[in-house]
Amino acid sequence: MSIEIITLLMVGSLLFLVLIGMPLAFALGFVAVSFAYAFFGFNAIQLIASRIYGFVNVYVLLSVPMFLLMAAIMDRSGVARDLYDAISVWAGNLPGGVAVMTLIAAVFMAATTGIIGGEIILLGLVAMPQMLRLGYHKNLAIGTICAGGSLGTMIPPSIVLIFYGLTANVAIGDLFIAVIMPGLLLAGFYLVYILVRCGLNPELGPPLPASERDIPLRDKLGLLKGLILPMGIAFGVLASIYAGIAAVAEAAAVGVAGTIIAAWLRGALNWEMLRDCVRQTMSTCGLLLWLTFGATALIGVYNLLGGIRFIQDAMTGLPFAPVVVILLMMAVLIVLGLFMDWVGILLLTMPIFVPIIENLGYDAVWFGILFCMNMQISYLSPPFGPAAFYLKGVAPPEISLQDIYRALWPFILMQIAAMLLVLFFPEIALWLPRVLAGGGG
Amino acid sequence: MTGDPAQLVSNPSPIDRLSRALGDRLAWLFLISAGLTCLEVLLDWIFRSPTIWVHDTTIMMSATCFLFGGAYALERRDHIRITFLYDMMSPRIRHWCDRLTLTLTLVYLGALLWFVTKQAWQSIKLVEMSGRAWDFPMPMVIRIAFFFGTLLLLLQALAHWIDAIIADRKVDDRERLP
Repeated sequence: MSIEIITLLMVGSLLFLVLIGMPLAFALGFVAVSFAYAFFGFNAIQLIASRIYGFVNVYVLLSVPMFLLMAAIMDRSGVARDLYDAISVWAGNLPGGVAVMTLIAAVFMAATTGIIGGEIILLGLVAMPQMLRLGYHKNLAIGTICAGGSLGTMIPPSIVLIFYGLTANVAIGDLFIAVIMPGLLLAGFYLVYILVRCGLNPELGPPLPASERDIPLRDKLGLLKGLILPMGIAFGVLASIYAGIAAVAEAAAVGVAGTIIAAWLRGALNWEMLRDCVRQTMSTCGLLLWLTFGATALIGVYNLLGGIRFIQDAMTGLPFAPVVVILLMMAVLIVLGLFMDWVGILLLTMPIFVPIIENLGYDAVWFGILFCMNMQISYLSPPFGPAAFYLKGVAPPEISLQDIYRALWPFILMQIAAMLLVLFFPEIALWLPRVLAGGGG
Repeated sequence: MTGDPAQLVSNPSPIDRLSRALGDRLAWLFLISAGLTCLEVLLDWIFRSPTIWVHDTTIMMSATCFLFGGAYALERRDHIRITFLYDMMSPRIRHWCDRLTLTLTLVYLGALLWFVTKQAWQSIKLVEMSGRAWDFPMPMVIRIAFFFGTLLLLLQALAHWIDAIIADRKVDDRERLP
């Protein structure tokens, strides 16, 4: 049987099983096991078991639960709410000021908790009513919250980048540095968009009335005090990774201890909260890892069948410039992102794509950043953008899912524009890591 | 990726209870791993005397959690699924889909368990050592955890399978509490 037909059969059966509601982790595993059996016999399944074993035996993997735990504890101790309260008072008389502050708060939340669902729900509960009350155009409010809240994976620490690092065999620290400029670029795009639209037409985002602006500076600064510790922890963890002082997993573990202390100082620490956090971490790790097992198994079998070679030859044999291959990959990722979660996409495509781009002479760190930006689109894009669902859950009932998607397209265009910028100017991502490496960091 | 801490209320089977109880308890290993790692960082920084065992111990702990986490996530029905088509189906067709996919899940896990058991058994017979600075039978421990984690996941899937086929209960009949 030719590899083309095998590929078709594999993709077809996987697609069928996933669409009829089989958990992705087991659909991947089943397809892997059945193809291994059909083409190589029962004993080939042994290889799958060995591949899986090899995967859990890695130290960096510890950073996944550590970062998840750190984020969960920070989330549960109310850091995100305080961030919003402390930042939103600075809106002043600027048109669109509250939206700008919401966005800035979202960037800081991304650096601390980074839980996308949690951020959007929180902003939907606190920022959305405030903006609507002030008479903001609802599209601007919706877009700011969904796009800003999705930045969680674009600002380190990012689970997406940790998984990319593990799959593509790239240093996670490098990815964390490289993503900073593109992440800020994306946030900058949103910021300029809000300012320009509200500047041209202040009715879209009326400034706060004078009575609400009248907060003494001392009080404004007082609100910031509670943020020093959580922000300090987040930056401390990242700085120690960047500076090469600690391994990623070690820095994350120290971050867990720090967030527990911070939660305790805030009086938010209790047994139930810690218990819920470790349980949530347990479940997320279980689903992520078994999903990884399934994908590892399937990619392994596909490789044995010569499939990866086939795709690589097909892709590199295309009569196009290498950059077209990258654009093609981005298009594939966008399409997959319409239906699938980032982790499934990452585990299935990256083992195939990364060797290709490396063969073409591209940088795997840069490609990881492109992947991460691409997944930003998947959070917002209909029909299954998770960001829209999170917001719908907490938005006023008169705002329909259609309203939300309609509000998101300018932000999706900005995401695509930012991604293309990084694609054509890789320096945006690669400049900072080089400078830091050169500076003896 | 957030997943709500969904609680299933309608009479959990013994396997459901086992998966949940084990997962609930093992989850604390993450906190212990964090504590041990912090200890290691302190020892290394302040006293310049890192231990040789913390590193490998945390690997064993987190690997154990990852492996048992599969059954835990399945019991909480947290595993990632694509449900848009599934949600559009009639309850009857959906029920048939559940029967099919659960059966195939059992095939996968059964085949996996066969080889995982073989590998664990060989590892126990050899008392497979890590061969690192701290020469502990770490591979054996992880392979044993792999065996039990896969076994529990298989049993958990079997519990759902029995629910769907023998008891003829639709998955959606189970209530989810926020």
